[in-house]
Amino acid sequence: MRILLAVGGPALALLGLFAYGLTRDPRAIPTPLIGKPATPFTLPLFDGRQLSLEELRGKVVFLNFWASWCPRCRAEARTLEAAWQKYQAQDVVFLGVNIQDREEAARAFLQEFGITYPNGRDTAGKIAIAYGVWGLPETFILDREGRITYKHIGALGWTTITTKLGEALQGIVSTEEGKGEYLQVR
Amino acid sequence: MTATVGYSSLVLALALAGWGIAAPLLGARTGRQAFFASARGAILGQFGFVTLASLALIYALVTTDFSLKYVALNTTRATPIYYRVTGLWGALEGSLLLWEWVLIIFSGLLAWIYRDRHPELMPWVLLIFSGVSAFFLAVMAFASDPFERVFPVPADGRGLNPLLEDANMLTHPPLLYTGFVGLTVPYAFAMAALISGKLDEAWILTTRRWTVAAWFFLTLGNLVGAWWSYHVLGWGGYWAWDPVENAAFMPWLPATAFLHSIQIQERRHMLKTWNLSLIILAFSLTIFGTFLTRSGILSSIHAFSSGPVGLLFLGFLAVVVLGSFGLLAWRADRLRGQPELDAVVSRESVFLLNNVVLVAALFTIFLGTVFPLLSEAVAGVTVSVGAPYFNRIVTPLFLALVFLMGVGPLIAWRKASLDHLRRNFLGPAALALAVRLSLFGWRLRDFWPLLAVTLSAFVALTIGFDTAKAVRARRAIAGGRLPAALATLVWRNQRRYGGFVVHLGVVLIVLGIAGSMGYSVGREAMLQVGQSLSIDRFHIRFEGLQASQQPTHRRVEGRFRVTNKGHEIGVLTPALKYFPTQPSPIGRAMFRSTLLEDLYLILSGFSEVDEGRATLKVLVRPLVAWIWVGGAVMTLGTLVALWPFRPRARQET
Amino acid sequence: MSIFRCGNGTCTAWWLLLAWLLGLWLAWPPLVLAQVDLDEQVRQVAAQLRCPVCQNLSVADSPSETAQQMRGVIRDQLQAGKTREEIKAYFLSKYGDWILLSPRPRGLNLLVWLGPFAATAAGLAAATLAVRRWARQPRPQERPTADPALVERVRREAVGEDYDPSVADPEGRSPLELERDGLYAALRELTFDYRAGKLSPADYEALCADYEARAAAVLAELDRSRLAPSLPATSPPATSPPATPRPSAVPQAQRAGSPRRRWRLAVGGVFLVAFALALGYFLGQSVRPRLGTQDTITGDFLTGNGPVRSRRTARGRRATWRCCCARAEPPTTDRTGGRPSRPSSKPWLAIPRIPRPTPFSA
Repeated sequence: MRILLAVGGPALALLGLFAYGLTRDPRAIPTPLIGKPATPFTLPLFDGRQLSLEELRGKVVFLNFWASWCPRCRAEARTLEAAWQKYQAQDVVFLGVNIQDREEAARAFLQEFGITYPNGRDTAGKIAIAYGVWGLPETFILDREGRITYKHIGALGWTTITTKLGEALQGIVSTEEGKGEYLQVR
Repeated sequence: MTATVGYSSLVLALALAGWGIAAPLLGARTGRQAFFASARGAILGQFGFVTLASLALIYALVTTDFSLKYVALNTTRATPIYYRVTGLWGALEGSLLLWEWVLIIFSGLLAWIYRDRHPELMPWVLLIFSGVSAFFLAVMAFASDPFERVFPVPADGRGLNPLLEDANMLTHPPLLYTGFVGLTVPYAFAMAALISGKLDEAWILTTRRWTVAAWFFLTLGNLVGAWWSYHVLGWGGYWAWDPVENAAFMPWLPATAFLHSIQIQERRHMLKTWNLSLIILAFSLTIFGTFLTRSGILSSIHAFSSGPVGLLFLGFLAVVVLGSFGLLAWRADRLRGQPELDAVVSRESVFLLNNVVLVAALFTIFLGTVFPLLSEAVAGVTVSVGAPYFNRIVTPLFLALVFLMGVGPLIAWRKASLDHLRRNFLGPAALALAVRLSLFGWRLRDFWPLLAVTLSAFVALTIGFDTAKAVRARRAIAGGRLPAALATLVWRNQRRYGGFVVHLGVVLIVLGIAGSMGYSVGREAMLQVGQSLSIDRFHIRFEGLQASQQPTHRRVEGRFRVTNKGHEIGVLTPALKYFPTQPSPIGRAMFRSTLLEDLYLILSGFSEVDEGRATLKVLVRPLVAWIWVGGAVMTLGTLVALWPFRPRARQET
Repeated sequence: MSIFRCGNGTCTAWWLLLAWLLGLWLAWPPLVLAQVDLDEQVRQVAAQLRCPVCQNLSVADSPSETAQQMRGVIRDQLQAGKTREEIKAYFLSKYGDWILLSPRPRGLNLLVWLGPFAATAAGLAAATLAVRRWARQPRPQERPTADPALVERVRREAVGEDYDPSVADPEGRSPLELERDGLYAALRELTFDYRAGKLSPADYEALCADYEARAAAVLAELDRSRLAPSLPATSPPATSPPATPRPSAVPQAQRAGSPRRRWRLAVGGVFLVAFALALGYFLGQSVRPRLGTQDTITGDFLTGNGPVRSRRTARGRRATWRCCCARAEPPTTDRTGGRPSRPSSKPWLAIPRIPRPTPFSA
């Protein structure tokens, strides 16, 4: 009897733990950045300009990390462009950061999907590391004070974009990060 | 047609497995002998059908029958034939079929060899085997079918995971699976002993060789895995404390503990409950290992893609653990013995310490592997437990084990007097201390490597002293020359000298690990053509890149000329392989191995713009080759221990 | 003579030594080589961070692009003069606790740092207590002084041929015989060890006498059991319960009975014929000649050809197409090799299956 209790108790607890483990994604890295001020950076854009994050203070920033070889980025590209067209007038700036990619491929991607919002290349990966990027695509939404209100990993849908941009315009910080189907960085 | 044959064979084997479970129960109920005989028939029938199914899948793989989804996902027309055969265990469904096949081969062998012996135990042994077999067959029949078809039939397959295209794919999984499944044999006998109530040492004596063989395959499987990681994965290391690597290593620990503490049970009839617990633990850990690999609860390079299989394995694990320990609890009063020891210092207590250290190591590795899950469930914080933690915490335990390895084989059974300790250990201990002091003087001052070398020297010296005394005594008794005396000694004391050789192998592995973990150096640099990098005594000159197209991938090689203090050694060509299905290239490191050290070259990257620029990472790792030498010595030792020298021994097992 | 005799401070001394060793284990800093250059410093910091891509390698070992970029960041920060702790804190602030390969020793993480230490200490304590308790058992000392005749017999028989009890077949012998043979083997080993110089004469005498006494007792027991006809020397062990139905001793009796055998053959034959008929019937029901080049042999028994009846099938088909067909050439009617297309039907045995999530998730 003692054996059964001594072994059965911890065994049942462990089995319960493994059952819990079946429900989560083991590769996910939860972010500590929500609610924290966004790290400033300077991004060299594709059209030659240099854009610094400080310039965009006072507007809501939709920061999207992408790469041309990532199918989910392709899936959400047109949605993002449409959202940009809608929110352009409302103090929202869309900014795309291309990581781990070749310049021609990135430009071809932008041309294919007709992206008009500013995009730049993060060649050394510093900006990606500063935002703890580990999957593609990843999106951060910054409010007017430069605080990160939301992070989403994976392709974004229209509803999520509008909801979260609405929240950011009012300065509400999300409680949870969002997750869709993603690819890992290289 | 192949799919129909394969799938229906699996289903028929499942039906037979069901009968194999029912028959002994019916036989026990009604007392009719026929039922027990038919249980044996059920096992042999399962063997036939599962072999048929495995051959069907191999046939489909070899003929690239892409109407089977498994074949379409794991081969292409261009895959060489030996990789098509290894595709049998390259993905989830096929690996389940391989496990089942090895299991049914073992049970068929047992059913045949023991067909006229152990009449009280064998029906229950076969019931356990049928039970485990039924589980794997049910998973294959209902949840992850290797013979699932795909429509429309693709013209070409997707291909094996490029990391698996290596010669080790032929050896590592089969060896490891044989080790895992081999542990089912003592488990089945233990359960049979508990069920039938025949709790003397008969089952231990019968299964001893099977357990040693299973332990051996498990050791070899782990070592070949480490070798594969070292020379294929291209990061220069052999053990990453990956959750699946840990899961393959964990059954080894209670199996080793079991092999030592059954010697106490054989001589003193003590520790019966403990030994049964150890073997249940070992088997449960093998099931836990397959669960971990197939459920996706921990991220690992080895993990198969998951599905509903995880939940099924969890259920089976629950049944095995709770059922086995329940049986043990039920028979606990019958197992209670009258443990007595003659003295506190004796081989019995040293073996007990050995067990404590092994189980503590098991607990540590298990806790570390499972802790991220625990932390997330309880505290909501995602943490990682990786190599720095394991190396730090596990090293002292294994060094304590090395020390016990030196003491255990020599110290006397029952009672070790102070005089006995002095005679046997003073010499080796003093010499080991001398070795330590001289290494200290030679400027090897770091604590852990120094301790490792000292203890290794101690073990080697104890073995040497003991063998020398024994050979001298044998020559005094029977005359004859040295080799003959040694041969007679080994022939008469197989277990003992086989154990000595295995311990020597472990010592060599410990030396290899101590050298490579403590004293590796590495450098990474971007080189232009003609530039050199120097590390340690080596000078490496970059000579250029070369691109080529291989059957399955595009390859970019870098040529590096290596000189050692002026003597030219040769040209090494680490490469990067670009596969169409992989987003990033797979590295192919090249290394030059000597007994003293390994020079390891990794091509980290190259500039696509500038033809003549490449990033090179170099590692110099001392003493790594001794790990593989130690593995070979352990193989030799196991053969010595198991070889049927005596004709009388052929009667059993 | 036991060297662990407790009392007068010896025991305390041993426990203190043990505690010191265990404490050393926990407190000893990990191996750190003398850092010389920037490369080595980068490697040492990177070795403590986990690569987000190859998740079971450190950033120092990982060949991935992200790891290379992280090593670049570490190098820049080291050159800017930051300390290792500051660099680790930087990565911690970006990726969270996940990025450290060794969990910080606080909160629940203390469990993983102290757990092994506690488990080893508990194991050692339990083993020590058990050993002490077992060694103190009142010995059944009062072994009646062994009959000298029996001791003589022991000495004579023990010198005989080599016998290793662990190697031989246990089934032919009773537990008493196994015990006797084990004691003989121990005696021979003892004698050999004495010849090899591993034991002092005093120890040899003491242990020898002990073994001989035990062997003599076993021999006496064996003789007694041989004299009693109701208990043959090779009786099965007494521990097996009477409740377990003992399978009847002679399985051969079954084989000899020919009416039984013929009957079994007949049943087997009938079963085989029925099986073949069933197989033939079902196969005949499910296959038919093709009616055209785009047809299949099982016609509308499939899920592949007909209109899509469920969303799951449609999803599966799209996934199949994406995975296999998008890369392959489109199926043509004239396929060299002439392999007929196979259905992806449920097998005709119609066994219910557990549904899978979307296939081909790599």
